[in-house]
Amino acid sequence: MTRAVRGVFGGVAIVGLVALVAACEEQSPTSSDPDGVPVEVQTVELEIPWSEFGQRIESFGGFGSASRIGEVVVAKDLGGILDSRALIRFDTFPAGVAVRNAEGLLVTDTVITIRSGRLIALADTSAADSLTTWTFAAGVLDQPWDVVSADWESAIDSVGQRVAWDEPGAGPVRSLGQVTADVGASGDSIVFDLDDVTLAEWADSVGSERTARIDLVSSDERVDIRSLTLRLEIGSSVAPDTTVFRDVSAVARTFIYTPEPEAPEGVVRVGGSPSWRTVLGLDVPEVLNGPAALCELAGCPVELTSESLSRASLVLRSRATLPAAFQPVDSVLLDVRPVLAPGALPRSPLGSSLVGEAALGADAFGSAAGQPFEIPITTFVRRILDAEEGGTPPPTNLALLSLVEPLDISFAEFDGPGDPGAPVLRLLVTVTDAVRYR
Amino acid sequence: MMIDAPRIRGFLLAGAFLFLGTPLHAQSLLSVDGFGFPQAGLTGRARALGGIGLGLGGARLSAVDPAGAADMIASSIAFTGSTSWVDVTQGDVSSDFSTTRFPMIALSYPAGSYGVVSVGFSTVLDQTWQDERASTVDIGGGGQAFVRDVFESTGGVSALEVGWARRFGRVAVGARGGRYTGSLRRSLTRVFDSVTVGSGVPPFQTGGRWDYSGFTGIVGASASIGTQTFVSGSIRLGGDLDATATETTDSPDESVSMPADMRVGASFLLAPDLVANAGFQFADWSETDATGQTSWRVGGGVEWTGSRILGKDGAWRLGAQRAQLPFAPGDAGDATETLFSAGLALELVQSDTGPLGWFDLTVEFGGRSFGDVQEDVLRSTLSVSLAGF
Repeated sequence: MTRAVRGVFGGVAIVGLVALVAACEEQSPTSSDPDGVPVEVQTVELEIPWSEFGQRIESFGGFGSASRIGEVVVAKDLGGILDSRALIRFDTFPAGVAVRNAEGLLVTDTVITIRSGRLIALADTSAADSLTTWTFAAGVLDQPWDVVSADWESAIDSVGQRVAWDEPGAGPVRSLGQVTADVGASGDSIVFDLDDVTLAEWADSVGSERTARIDLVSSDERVDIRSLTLRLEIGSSVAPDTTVFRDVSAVARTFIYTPEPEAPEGVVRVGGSPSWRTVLGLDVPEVLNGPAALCELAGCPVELTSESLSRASLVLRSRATLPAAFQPVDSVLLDVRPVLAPGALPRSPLGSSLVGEAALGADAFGSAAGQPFEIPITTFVRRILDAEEGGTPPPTNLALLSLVEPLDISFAEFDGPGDPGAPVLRLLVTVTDAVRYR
Repeated sequence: MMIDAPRIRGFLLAGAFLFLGTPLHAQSLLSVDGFGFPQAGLTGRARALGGIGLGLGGARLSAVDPAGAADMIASSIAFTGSTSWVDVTQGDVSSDFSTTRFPMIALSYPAGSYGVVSVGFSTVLDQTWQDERASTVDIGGGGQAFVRDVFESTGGVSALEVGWARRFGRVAVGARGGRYTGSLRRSLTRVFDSVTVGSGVPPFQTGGRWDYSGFTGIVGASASIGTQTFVSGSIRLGGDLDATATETTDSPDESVSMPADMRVGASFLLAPDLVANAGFQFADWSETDATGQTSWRVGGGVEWTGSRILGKDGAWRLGAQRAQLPFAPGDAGDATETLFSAGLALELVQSDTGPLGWFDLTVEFGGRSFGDVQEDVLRSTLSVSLAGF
């Protein structure tokens, strides 16, 4: 056979193959006959009570510091019990200002005069109406304090050092007076004028704490302060007719409060400042003995496997936070993570988040308490079910914590094992008889 | 012994075709309730002339006519590809699907006076289909969930056989023997509706896989009667098809009794370039599956070989066939198929002793019906044969 003829053969073969492969848009014959699926399949949702899967429930506090919260909280007799005060340490005053001299050149004037100073706080008025008025008091605090560890009793409470306030609650202070903020008239600004003595002290960059304490005078109120600055009016020696305004920012700020909530017993607590976490230990059942529909198809006891487990979730029921002063005022953002080293609790490392972010409205912990809160833990439970004997045991403890620690002075609580809304393990299980050859 | 380069290329090509020669998708919803959809590995010529494949005459490699290779004068390879487009009406529901498969690949090698040996790989049953249903299931506690169940069956039965054919005067005989091969995977997937069950719930899946084995074989003979008549027949021997569950399959092995498949055909020379052909096929699938029944097919056609196409010798064909199909849903009654066909052939190379290369292209159209299902079928089949490498 000649080469040319073979070329024709090859060409035909290739064209044929290409044509066939090009037509390979495969679509299986698909029937919609409801009786055409030759396998019985049953999906059942089970709720397993805490007594059958709960191993432990334990809350731990002390995570984070109020100084990490973006807003500081001031409160006076909130809920009849809660007092909270803000502490602010300002940066050093500027050593000079830039002004234009008589020739119009921009120069730095280091011979300046602090003419006045104003402490300006901006309140969070998102929940206030135009008729709201608050009265605040400010004072100068001379005692040194530690922004991370300070609390109502202690100015410093760090490792190896504990210094109590001269008076509990960051006192005493030299008063800077009181100011009434009228939300309708002045908006969110709260302004205190600093006296000359205070200005002179604070201008000393070495010998002064430059600390102010802000109290709320209005009773049974809580105000969140989102910004604190010190505005200075500065006179120049180079340009005497020029006044320069400079803001001095806060280098440390926090809030201290009393009383501290008591440690919870038998409930799930999350949040607060410093933050609380609760660890739940799970003993996931390996076999199921109900309900009837499941037993009818698969024959009880049914082995629970990761393949048959379609979804697992932990269902908590919210409860009203007590004391009420600690009830959340905004949505509660929760995180759930496996506890990697239970023996190292409360400082055990935690695994990756199981939920990313889970939010629950503030009402769930007050007027609308009793709401179910379902936490998906399918991956967590599947790892337990897939654990091989002799292998590394998977985590069986879950930590419930605030997404941001701390986020607020308030905390959320859920019913514990002894409560009507005790935690429940909710499983969505799918079982079939074996897929047979025909 | 030196093996020349064209021969090596030929065997490499054959190997590639063998890889392609796997059953892909079933051709009908009939597979859903039955054991599969039978595939005979017919060539384009066989499909054009009534779908039986016997009594056609000529030296051809055929999955159903082992004696047809007796007159192969050169080593050759033949393969067939087929594409179907099917519109389905099931009650009030309409759908369509298309499938492509390569049901036959075969090689032959003339062994002098000993006859012609061949190797063939052909599809016996396509078992690919799926069934979907959407429903609301009670998940307990008063809750309900929307789910969609998809049952998929993927795979099929093939036969890998070695054959021999030889001419004894006016009679030619042939036989092939080999093993069933292939596999079947069946799986169920339940997909949960995220609105009723919640997001992030993965589908539930379970299934199994079985590998096929077992012995199979086919014998056949043909004869010329006078100068105008040619007859042939074949019978694929029944036997046990063993389906062995893989280790991860939680179901037992199965053994299925496959039926004998009998085919006879004849052609009659009506005029110097005009041949009429007719044939009949029969198999009893009642012991294979609960939905199995006696199946038969009768078909025929005419072939005119006196034309020239693109400067080459060519042939035009017309045919028709009627069949009772082997599997039908329990209450569907008989499943029938009626197809009409038209095709052409082009002889690419003509040697002194006969054609060395050609292709057959056939288009079939018609329908199947069973129960409340009506399928409108359009199928193209392309066969290519190359010889002399």
